Amino acid sequence: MTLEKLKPGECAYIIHIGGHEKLRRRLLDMGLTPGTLIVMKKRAPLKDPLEISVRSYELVLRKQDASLIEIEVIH
Amino acid sequence: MIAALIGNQNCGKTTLFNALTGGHQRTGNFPGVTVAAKIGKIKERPQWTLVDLPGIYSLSPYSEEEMITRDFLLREDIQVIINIVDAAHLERNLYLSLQLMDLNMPMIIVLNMMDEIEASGSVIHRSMLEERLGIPIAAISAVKNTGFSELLEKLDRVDRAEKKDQHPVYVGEIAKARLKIAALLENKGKFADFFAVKLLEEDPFIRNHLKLPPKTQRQIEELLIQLDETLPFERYETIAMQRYQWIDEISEQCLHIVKKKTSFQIDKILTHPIIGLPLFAISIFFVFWLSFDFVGGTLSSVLSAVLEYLSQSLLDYLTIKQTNPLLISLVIEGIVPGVGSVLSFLPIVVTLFFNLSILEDTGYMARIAMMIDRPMRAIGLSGKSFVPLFIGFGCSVPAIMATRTLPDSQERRKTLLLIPLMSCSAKLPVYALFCAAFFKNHAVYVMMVLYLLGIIFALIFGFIFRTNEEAVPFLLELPDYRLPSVRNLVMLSCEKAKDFISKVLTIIFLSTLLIWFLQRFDVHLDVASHPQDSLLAMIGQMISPVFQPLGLNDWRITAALITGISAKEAILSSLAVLLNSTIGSLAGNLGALFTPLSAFSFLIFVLLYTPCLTALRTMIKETRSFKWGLLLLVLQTGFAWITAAIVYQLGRLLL
Repeated sequence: MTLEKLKPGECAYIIHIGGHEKLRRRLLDMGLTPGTLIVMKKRAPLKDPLEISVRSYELVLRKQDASLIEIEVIH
Repeated sequence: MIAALIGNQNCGKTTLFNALTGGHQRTGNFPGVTVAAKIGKIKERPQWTLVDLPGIYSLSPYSEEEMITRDFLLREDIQVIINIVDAAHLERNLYLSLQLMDLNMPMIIVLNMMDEIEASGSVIHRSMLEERLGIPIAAISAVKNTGFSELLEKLDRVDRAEKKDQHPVYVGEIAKARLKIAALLENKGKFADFFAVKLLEEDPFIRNHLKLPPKTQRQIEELLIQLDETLPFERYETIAMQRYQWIDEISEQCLHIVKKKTSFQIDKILTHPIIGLPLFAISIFFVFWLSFDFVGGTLSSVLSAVLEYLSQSLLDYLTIKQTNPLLISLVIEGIVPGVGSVLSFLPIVVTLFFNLSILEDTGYMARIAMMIDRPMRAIGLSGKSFVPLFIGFGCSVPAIMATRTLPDSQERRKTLLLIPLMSCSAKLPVYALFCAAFFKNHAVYVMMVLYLLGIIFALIFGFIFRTNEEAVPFLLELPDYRLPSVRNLVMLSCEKAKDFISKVLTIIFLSTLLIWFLQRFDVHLDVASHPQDSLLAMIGQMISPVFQPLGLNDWRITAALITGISAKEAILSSLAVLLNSTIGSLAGNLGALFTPLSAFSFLIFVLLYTPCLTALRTMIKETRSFKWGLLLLVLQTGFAWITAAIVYQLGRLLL
């Protein structure tokens, strides 16, 4: 599954970051490395972008970019 | 001795800078780095010069600001890095610290926001952290002014501090390869370790910068190929993972952070799916209403009355003293109304900046950027470009500089193009006076129409120049909500007031003198008997036919618009001199030059025509392109002319 499908309040582990080099490296720099725990916080009023919680801070990213992040949901 | 202040965005860097330097800063340019970094002397250790560098997340070259900081660190002779970190978000902040540590430079880590840590019941085991990092740590609260003496002590001892071993960050094959590459770069001095890591990360800029001989390049190439075969993940990914693994280990041992819930709860309301956007609109309205009307506007009329009274007293005094009439004319018809008419708008400008920085400091601006990202995308921009555009309502110059935070050069250029369309606070006095003079009962609405028109034109331009390329990655950190620091707000307001007053006393003063001189004397440099015979009338009359289609027939308008290129406020000061007005009577006298319709077309022209010289200069400096600045001047003025002409001609048909 990919990150944009995660519902608010759900948690997941990052499996893999895809996408072009620039975005990928930036996401890795921001701490979204494989194995990291993510919590989906909410969507912006217009449904996009998304807010996630990662490494004890809040990060906003677009659906389109989130769809490049493969995750495994924790139930 | 130079100390470089480095940290993530929003970790209190500016607050610390102001506290350490006592706000006595100046903007300095460093050769080789096109950055106007803030620099200042540390108040209690004057031998140290502190340089405030842009807030960054990493030393990778993905945004202008990261490049600036990196170039600065590599090129300048820096004695110490002061790395300020947000103690509540230590994990992500330490990622930058690890990269800074690769530079092998003396370094101090400053844990900021310790007051919040203590208040929330979180614990940081400082001595253990210090030992693990191998770097001296000072714990402070920049807002509450605590812990500075400890920081200064560490600074005093920084060159004598024994080099401690740090817990190794890189492990396994990466560590081995790093050592091998560093050995090949031995002649590159103290940065060999840093360069080695950057080569492992495939950093193209460092590779070009090093200019390695082909043989060494081949050796490194082979090393990297061998390394890649042994790694289960891609190389950059592996390095990032190792750094974060190291941070995770340390965090587990040294940190116990209790997350605050307040930000989450405030967000529930402010970014609410339904009321979030209306609240945003209301807050913007509120900012403008406070600045133009309730606080700024009121104070401005008080100041204007005071200045009027002073000018009258001065006139009485000069008359009694039987001063030379030409000198009286210079002071009473030139300098006082010219400078005074602009000076009286000081409260509005300061209030506007004050309000804008409250939005920024509380963390609400980041939420706005999040909420507005979707609509901004329609014109090929992101929520991040909203911030510089919004600052543009204050002043184009800091707005132009704020575009450095945009990671994409396309987006940056486009934002730069749109910034001048945001009515800056220099145009505000012109709007305010004209609205009061011609649209009495609807002044606030006409003012808002002008602001809106600028925004609508920006949307149209954005749409025309939108690109079909893939959208730029948009990553934005949401800071915790915070009460803004009163000291910072007051300091910033004083700074803006000082800027404004010094502008009035220099550019506006000079342009007032010039206008007075040109309209007082004729071609033979004799005192002109009629204003129509003056030098200024001659120049103005040559150009004014151009403005005929806009309904602006008088040479005095042309003259005022020309002086407006130096600074927009000069339009007012020139009109005040040319209409022989006092500070209070200027609004009433404007009726001699304008009808309500031509006043509106004039305002449209002022809204859209060329940015002031300072803004143009900043634009050229930031884009490093003279052509770009020139293009902007010509295009905008042409566009302003066309639009104002259409408005005037349509208005004549309809009214």
